[in-house]
Amino acid sequence: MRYVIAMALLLGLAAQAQAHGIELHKHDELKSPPNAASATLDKGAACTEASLRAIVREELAPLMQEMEELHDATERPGMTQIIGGIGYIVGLAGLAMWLKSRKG
Amino acid sequence: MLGAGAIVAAAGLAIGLRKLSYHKIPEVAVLSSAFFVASLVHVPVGPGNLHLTLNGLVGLLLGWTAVPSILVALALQALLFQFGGITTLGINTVIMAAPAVLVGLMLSGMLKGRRATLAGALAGGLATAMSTALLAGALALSGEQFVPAAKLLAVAHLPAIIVEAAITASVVSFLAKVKPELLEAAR
Repeated sequence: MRYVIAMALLLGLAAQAQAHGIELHKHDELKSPPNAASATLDKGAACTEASLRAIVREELAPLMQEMEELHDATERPGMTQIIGGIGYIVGLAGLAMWLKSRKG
Repeated sequence: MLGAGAIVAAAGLAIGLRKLSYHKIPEVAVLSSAFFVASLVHVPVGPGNLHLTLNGLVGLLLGWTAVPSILVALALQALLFQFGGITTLGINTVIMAAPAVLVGLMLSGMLKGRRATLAGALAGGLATAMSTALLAGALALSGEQFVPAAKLLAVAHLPAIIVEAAITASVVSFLAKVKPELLEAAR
């Protein structure tokens, strides 16, 4: 789901750049400093690949962070699993006692 | 390797279940829960991140019945947390339960008076050391390429031996104060 959002955002940015008549120059990094990206682009201004990349990176940073946190949260066993596991053990103990008590 | 582990684990399980009396079941279950949760307690040591096992404590208090106790906990960890996995359950049970049973047989006689704490420390440290040796051995035997990993693992677990010894000792000394009959039953 989040990947879809990220892709949509990327496509949207690219479409916007085109609509504003921004030309993408490849291998043009040297002409403008790469970290000029945080500055907003004027209408019709040229945009180098590097600055566009920087903008995209900046826009996606919170999303990436959130994805990382989500990934960590799913990796670690949660409270429900821990308590569920203890419940299983208690249940198994009850079952074992019941079976043993029936034998005599 | 996995097959041999499963066979040994099954044999241990059979002995453990035969020794499992009705009155021992709650204790086995509680220690199973303790073992199950202990592996989630991570201890940051140096560069690595170790977790407790408490298999020394389980073995010291349960003896042979530590096998079903540990097997159940490992099976649930595999099912719920994807720790280990079901195919390696046999060998993992051997790695964890064999040292537990051994320390139980060797040290449970010491669970009396002041020596109980020492027994706890020895049980925790020895069980962890033996488990590490078994794990490293199993890794090294499953392929030449795992030998460096096995060596690294053995060195990384040295602090775990100390931590485990300290924690098992404190649990046992606590039990000696509040529930001495539990230690009595283990003897």
